[in-house]
Amino acid sequence: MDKTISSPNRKLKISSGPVGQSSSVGSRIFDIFNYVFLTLVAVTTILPFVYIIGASFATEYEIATRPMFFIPQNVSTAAYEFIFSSNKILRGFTNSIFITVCGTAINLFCTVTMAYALSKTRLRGRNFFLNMVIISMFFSGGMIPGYIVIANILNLSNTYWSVLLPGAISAYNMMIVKNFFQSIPQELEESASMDGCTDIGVLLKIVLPLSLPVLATFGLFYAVGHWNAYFGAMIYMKSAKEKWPLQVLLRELIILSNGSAGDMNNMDPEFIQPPEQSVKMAVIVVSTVPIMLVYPFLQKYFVKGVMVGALKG
Amino acid sequence: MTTKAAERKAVRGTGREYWQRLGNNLKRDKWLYLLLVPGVIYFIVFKYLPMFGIVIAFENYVPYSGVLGSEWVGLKWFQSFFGYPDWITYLTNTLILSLMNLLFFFPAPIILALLLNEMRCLRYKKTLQTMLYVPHFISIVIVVSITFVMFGSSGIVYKLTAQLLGHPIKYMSSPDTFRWMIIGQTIWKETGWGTIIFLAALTNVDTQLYEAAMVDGAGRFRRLWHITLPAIRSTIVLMLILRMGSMLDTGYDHLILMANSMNRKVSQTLDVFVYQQGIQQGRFSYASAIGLMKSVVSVTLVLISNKIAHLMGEQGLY
Amino acid sequence: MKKLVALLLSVALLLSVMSFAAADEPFEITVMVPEFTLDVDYVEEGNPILAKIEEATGVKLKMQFVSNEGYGDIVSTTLTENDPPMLMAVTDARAPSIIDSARAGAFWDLTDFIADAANYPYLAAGSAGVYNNISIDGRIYGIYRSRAYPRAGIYYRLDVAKQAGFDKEVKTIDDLTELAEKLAAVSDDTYALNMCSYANGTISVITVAMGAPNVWGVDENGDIYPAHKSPAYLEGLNWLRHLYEIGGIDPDFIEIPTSEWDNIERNGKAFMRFDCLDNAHRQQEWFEGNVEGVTEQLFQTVGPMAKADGSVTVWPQNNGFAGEILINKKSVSEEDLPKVLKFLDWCNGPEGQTILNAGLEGVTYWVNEEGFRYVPDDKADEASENSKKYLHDFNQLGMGVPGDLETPKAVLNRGLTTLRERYANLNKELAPYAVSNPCFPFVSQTAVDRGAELDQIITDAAVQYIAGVIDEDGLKAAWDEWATKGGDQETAEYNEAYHAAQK
Repeated sequence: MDKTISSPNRKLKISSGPVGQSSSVGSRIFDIFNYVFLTLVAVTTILPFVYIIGASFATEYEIATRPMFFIPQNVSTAAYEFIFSSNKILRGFTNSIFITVCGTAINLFCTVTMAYALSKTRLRGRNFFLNMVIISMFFSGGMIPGYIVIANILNLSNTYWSVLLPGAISAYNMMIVKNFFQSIPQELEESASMDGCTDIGVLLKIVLPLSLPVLATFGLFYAVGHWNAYFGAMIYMKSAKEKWPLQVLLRELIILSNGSAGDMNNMDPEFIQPPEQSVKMAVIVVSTVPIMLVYPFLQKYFVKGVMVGALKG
Repeated sequence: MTTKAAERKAVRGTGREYWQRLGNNLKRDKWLYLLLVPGVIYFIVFKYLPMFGIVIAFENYVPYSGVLGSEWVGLKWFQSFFGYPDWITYLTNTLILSLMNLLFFFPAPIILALLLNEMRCLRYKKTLQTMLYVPHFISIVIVVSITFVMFGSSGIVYKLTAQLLGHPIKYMSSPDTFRWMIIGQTIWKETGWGTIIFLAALTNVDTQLYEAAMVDGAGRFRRLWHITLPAIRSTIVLMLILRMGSMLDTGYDHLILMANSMNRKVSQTLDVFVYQQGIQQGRFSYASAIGLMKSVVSVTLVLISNKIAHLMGEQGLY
Repeated sequence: MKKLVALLLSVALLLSVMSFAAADEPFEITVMVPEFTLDVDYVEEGNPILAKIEEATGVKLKMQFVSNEGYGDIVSTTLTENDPPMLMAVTDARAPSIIDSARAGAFWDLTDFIADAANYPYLAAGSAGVYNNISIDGRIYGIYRSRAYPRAGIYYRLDVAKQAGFDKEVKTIDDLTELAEKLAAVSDDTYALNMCSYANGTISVITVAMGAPNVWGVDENGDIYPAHKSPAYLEGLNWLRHLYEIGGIDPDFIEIPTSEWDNIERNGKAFMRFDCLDNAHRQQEWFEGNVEGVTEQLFQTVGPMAKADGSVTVWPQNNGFAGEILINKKSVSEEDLPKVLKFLDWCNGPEGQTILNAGLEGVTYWVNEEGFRYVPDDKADEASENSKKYLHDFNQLGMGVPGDLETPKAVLNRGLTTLRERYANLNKELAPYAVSNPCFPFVSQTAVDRGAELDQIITDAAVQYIAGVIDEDGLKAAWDEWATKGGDQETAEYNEAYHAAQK
């Protein structure tokens, strides 16, 4: 329950969490230290990114000569012009969004169903399945057998399935979600099944609503994983350029802009070196800002689980 | 017969009773089994089917010849690895880094999550949270570049320490600072992101418990210790057990970026070695062999720590 | 009788028409190469260059451009396929995975075909030395992609040198020493030589210039020995150590990551570099493009540098090639192999080279009155667009084994490219002095298993010696460590292979 206290100028939302409203002197001092400390830490984490944004709008000369700055002296959009000079980037963007949304949906569906089923200790064969999952976390055939299965046996090359399916369940995530489900009091589920709910009904009506923070968390983790992924697309969709996600294109751009590293020895005399350093920075901005903005939107799901009072009846 | 087995027998019955009970259980839980289907299919197809590839560790695998057609070499790669005397150094470096990671990095997101949880002002808390996880999205290459700018010999931290201590500390090249730099960079980069899962767990705390505790006169710290921490304890234990499985993992990209001729003795770990000698050159068999050894050790560590957790009354993996 | 003749004639006519039609069917060749042109998609439909290639060779070329990032992994996974591309570019020809694959029979053995000068004149005109370098167990499996050789060398800031009192050409090692010392004296905050954590190139340039072998050498008995055992190697290290002591090298050079290496010169912090010669014109162009008011030549490359006895030795940055084109056995039958080779031969001829590297006249380039290739200003956008759409990265298939046969040649003096022209000529000038690694064509199991680690021991010790962290005893101790940890074994294995090849 959040109580809203209106003060003359604005409404402050104060949680009645661990802090509560009573505050001794020691409590107040701790609060001040806490705020100061956390603010300092947040400043150290955000400053380098401010530099990256600044550098993405700077000239090559400035990046090479000024070690650290936040606002460039001479603003230049050359890096962004280079990146967006082709519509391939836009296409990559759409592909990435498609892959992230579909992928996360598949992830959550597969993970939650399995985690819920395995959270029930009464399930016969439960240990067998759990062992199967745990062993798969540490033993792996490697990249080539994976490729043989996905590309040669299943024939998924150059389709979106080749990036959506292989990562469908992260065993690590599934185990933690299972753990969360196990921490939900039995009584809640029992009262529902006594009312005639099947297991699936309990899952949909009771467990999922209570687990919104967990779902939001792992949805976010999976989404970020999809957004940042590039290796799968690179080897499985090598001939399907139109399906490439953003990250693959951006990584190639960095190699390209680093002209001396690429194999450009027979390069034509007309070759003009792209703005190397600022492109590296702009690539980071373009690829991370979209996904960084997802979390604030998810934050509203991180409210108190509706547990209060649920047991008192 | 052990008590557990006896218990199981009592529950499940014997002979004909056993099959009857089994049938009943399967019928009762049929929906659960249905829910299991997508996951089990996934693991079989995408995790267990490719496991035939583990055979590669005992072959001189050539993609052209396939897994069946490649020459069998038995334990050659294992012998080759242990034949190089430096393997002990790699193992030691790996373990030291992992232990330091466990000691210093593992608790960091927990502590940060708890501190964030203590904040009253929600708006500010949300803003801070968003700022704190930004480094997770910055590639490690940039992180090392920025570290160089700040800790290198023309960097501000270097100059400050030189002034304060009277003599400079060569952060970027000294073997003594190498491990601390790696841990420090990891903490800076991943702590913010790591708090997300604990903050999600903390939402499950019954707020009425806090009010009741305050009425009973419990101070801030006692409320933290007795209410907040227990709420996330099972998550912490689970993550710790799973973390044990990564004791031999250090990754290679971060370390290779920070390694140079001066700190070589401490920067060469198993993963770096496998990358340089195996993966970079496309020697899949060699990399697979070392990977297999690591897997065996990892699983053992995980099962042992799970047992320990059980003994301490925790739920653990199961 | 007449009827018989008529019948015979019509049958003959029919047969000739059929064979003509059969000869008309283009032979399809699939090719996989890494892609570097990212902003515009490759266009196959209506591609005039493909049409020209088909017209000239009867080959329908199907190009597959894949990601240059992780290209090595893509090659490995492609080899597991049942029908891989017929031709495959491989960027690291000496990678163990390629060597093992060749030995297992993944690629066609081309040794005899290359020797066949009658059928494949251009392939046969390739350099025997470079072919030897890409050979595996004495057999040649691919056509190498020729690259500028020796490419490595020394360049320095011309204007700073002049100001410091050095106003002549560097022709001897003593000249170089003089130049370095003068540059070191310029100021306390700047350095003569730009070094970073990647020191191998710098060390190689100076030690080989002093007379050391390139990684492995052959002694008077005809045996193989490692470069660090030659006295000239220590001389080279001492040269660097002396420069370090007089303040000519950044005391903390070891910390500088390779990503910062270029910035040091751009910041005016150091004035000389031992590395790739083409970096000189790259830096020049960076200055011209990003710093105001730069018009004159700032950088200068160094030509042949004589030792005290007058001889010149130069360290080559590569072995004359960057990867090779391989022919996959799985997708090319024995009867089709000559057709593929014929096509590759054409690619190495004057027409093929020009088309693969430059495209088509009127589409991607025009010819001026002197007969040189150029792009007129009003056609610049069109040429660029066409080049990206149609030519894309065809040059990745370019091999050029008989040398540069492009006709017409490209015009080089587009303004301030004195350094570019000098680069092309300098490579030719230095090539005869390049010291090759005699063990490069051989495979040593120890080198495969732990070669990277062993090399690191030597390089790390050299760097520490230069920085004064260890002295000569420490250096010798490291060399002993190298020997016991596998260096001696490596030497023995190479010795064996070298002597076997001599017979």
